[in-house]
Amino acid sequence: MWALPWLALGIACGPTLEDTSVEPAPARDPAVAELMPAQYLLRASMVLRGVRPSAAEIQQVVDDPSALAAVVEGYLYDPRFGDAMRDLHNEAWSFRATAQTNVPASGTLADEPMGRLRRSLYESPLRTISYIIEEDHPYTEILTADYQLADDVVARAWSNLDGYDPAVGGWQVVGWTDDRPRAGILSDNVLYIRFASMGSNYNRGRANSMSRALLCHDYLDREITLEGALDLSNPDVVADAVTASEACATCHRTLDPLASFFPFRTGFALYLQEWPAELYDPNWVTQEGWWYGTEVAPSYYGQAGTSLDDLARDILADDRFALCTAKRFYAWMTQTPLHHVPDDVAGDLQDVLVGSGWNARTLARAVVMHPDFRVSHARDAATADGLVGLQKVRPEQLERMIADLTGFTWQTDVPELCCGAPAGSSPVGVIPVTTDAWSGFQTLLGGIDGAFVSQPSNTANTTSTLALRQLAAEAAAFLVREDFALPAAERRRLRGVEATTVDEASIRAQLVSLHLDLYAEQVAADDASVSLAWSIWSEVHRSSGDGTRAWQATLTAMLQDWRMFYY
Amino acid sequence: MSIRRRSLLASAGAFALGPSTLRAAQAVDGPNVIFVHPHGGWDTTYSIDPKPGLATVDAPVGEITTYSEIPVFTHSSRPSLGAYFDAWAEQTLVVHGLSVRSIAHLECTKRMLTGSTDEEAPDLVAIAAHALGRDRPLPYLMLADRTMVGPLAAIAGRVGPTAQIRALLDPGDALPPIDPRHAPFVGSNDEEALIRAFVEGNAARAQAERAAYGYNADRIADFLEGRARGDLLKPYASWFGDAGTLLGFDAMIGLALDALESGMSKTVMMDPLLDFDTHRGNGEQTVLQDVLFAGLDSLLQGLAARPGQRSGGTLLDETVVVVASELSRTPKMNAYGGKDHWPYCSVLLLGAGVRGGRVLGQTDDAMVPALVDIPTGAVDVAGDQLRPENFLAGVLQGIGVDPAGWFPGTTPLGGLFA
Repeated sequence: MWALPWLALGIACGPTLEDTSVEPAPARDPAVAELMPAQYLLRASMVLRGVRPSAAEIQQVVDDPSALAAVVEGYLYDPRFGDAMRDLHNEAWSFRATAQTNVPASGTLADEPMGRLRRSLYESPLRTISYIIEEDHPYTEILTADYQLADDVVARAWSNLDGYDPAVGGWQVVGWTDDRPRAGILSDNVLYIRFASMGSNYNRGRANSMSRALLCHDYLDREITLEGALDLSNPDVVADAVTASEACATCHRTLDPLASFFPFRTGFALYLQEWPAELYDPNWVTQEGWWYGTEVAPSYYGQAGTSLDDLARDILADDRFALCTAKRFYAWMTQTPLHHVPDDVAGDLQDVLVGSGWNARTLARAVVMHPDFRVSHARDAATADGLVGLQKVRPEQLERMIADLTGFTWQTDVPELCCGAPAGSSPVGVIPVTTDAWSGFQTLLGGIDGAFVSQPSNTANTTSTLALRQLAAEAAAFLVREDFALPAAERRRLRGVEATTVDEASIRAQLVSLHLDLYAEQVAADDASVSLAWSIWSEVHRSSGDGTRAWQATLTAMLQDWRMFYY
Repeated sequence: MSIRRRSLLASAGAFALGPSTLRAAQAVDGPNVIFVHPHGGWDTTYSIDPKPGLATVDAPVGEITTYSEIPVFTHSSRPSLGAYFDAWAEQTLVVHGLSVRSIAHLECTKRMLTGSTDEEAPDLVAIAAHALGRDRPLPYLMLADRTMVGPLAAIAGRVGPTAQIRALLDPGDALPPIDPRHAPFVGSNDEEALIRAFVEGNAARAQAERAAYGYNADRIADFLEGRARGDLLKPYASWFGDAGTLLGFDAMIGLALDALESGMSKTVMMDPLLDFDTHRGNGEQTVLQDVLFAGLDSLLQGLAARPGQRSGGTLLDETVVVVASELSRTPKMNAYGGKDHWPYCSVLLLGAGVRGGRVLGQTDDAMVPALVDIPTGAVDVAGDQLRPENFLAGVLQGIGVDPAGWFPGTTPLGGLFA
């Protein structure tokens, strides 16, 4: 059995495996087949970047498996690693609300298409997180940063951001001009427009969202058994019950003090109508604004505090934060439900994270090197039970993968107002089809929408396979047309043939090359899959006499193969 | 890793996927199921749980009218409510007092639809589709965003909030590209057959090697099943309306009726898109409930007017309908003239085999449920608190699906079916 050269993994550039003193895990049961080097590289590349490995990288690791370490290390420093980290944290937080329609285009954001508003506004905390990870700052900085990231939409949305340079564009580090506590993403206004916490619920909903994401503790998992006729509509009764009623107090005695930390106008965010907006309440800390809400002073499980930065400090001192982070990385990177992450594995990864000086890249590296990540399949039915082998491509990965392979970006223009949009809203505008839930196929592809669909589907179904087929037909047509319009050396994929090429050897050689590019498979010219592809090409060419059409049909098939859907 | 492996299709025995199997005669070994989920938390004092004249409950105006044995709080502002019960009381069973043990929408939705707190648990509709309708092109039609399919994802299909599925089924209605020069490849039948041979040939190789067992085998099976179902669904494309258009309640009802009558689907989850979450201005419940009951009336009329698949019967004779909001509303108004979340629910069950014209369970003057003898459904001071899982297990049992495997250790609520 081939095995990864574990101790060679960990190159320069930041903390490495040796730094973290992690012992390689023992070999698995022989009935568990591990990924071959190219398959492993494919999975690592998809998880860490959302794109396929290059043909050169595959050749490199096939020729010399010890080269894997350096190649994977390169993925950890690829710009698209930031994309993956944002996707990972979005699944933890559900910041991206691509099905939301309640964002008005007004004031400083007038005339902005709603699709753009949605994609920018909710993205800023994810950008802050990925910036911290990519800059190798301690991961703890997500709760201590005195800055956040903004693009031009975010910079115009909030009245208290400073330092954005429109001439430079893109996402930039900006600062707050008000005196809000500096607590990283907890200080980002998005926390308050994204997570509703209505009326007399004050900031409890937001506090629980934070607890679920950062501590893996969801108060809503608990069962509420009301004692008699408790009038939940009466704030006075509720205020009394959350301390006097044991059924309520079990959660509220810790949840309410967490909610009291949040210095934002409760309930306000749902009714935003104008930009720029201001959600921070400067009087919160100085005038104990919590008194008008939860009526409980801020504290973290009994540790008194006054402001968000105190809350951040206490979360960082709580072992559950590191453990939860480790679980979330492992769960997302192995497509394992969070509550199925093995305790011992989570504990080991927690040690890696803390031992590295809270370097999230090191944590990601440790997961990629974990034996569970290497599982290909079981060799018998008994072993197969409980073994996750194939991972399903997420909509965000599919978008990047297809764009990287073919140059095709699946977009459409939605020129109408969105259903239920507030008066004065703009049309939806251009949307990414694979990652928009309202007008595109994000949830039909098994993704989450941040609002209604909170769990991804890690398998295929009717709509996800239909979407893949349509995307394949779009991307194949685009790729062939674009490639044949260029000199061979400048093409993306079809470098070995022309539209006029007809000899079988050349066609098969090109198909072999495509198997490497698309599936990370090195196959012979007479491989069964190549022969099936050759059948398509030859039959379509025979009937149409059109080499371009033959390649479009062939690539349409190859791009909708199961190997594009699972890795 | 200790993840549960899905092997339900395999354990179910003879289901061998293939177009020929899916096109097989639509065996009716259990009723269709429609689950109407009016999301947001309905205030049942406006309709099926009258509480007039109490200091403990802020009730709307109206009067109690009894239909069969069901007391309903009617008023001229809610004409559809009376019209519904005039027509359908004999077929309708009201169940009061299901405790969801939460007051958060998402959590309550999960518990009401699945009877579980498990994120991966499938909802009632998915279970019914899996047990009774796997031979259909799209066993579980999802006309709602809030659905839970868990390990049964392969049999379910989302329509999408703006009927996006239409764009996937009909090339003529595909989402237009930004650059109109970039048309997709559209194959002839022969070319599509070649493409299918490539995809299925490679999947078969995987099934012999990397996907021979367990989790991987399920993933490839789902992939092939999804493709086969997609092909079978294409002829139905026009039923889904126009891509980019919000499907309203009426359109959903029409689609659900067509889907069941044609055999396209066996079960349907429907969210009428009425926002019952009336924290500010509870009076909106008047219109919301009127629209809801008008829709239910329309749904039942449609079911009664269409032929079933058994000789001589109607679709209503072969369909069970569940109507359940995920939570209800507090007895008293809040400071904004609205009502907040309340963890006790009332639901409706009607249709094939349901012992209608009756009420099971009850709530007291403070909207707190009475204890119930779960096996019989009778109010019993020595009984237990009724939970969604009891109700859902009872429905499964009533439609001929053994609930034990889905709700282990749960006593099914009795008294639902004749």
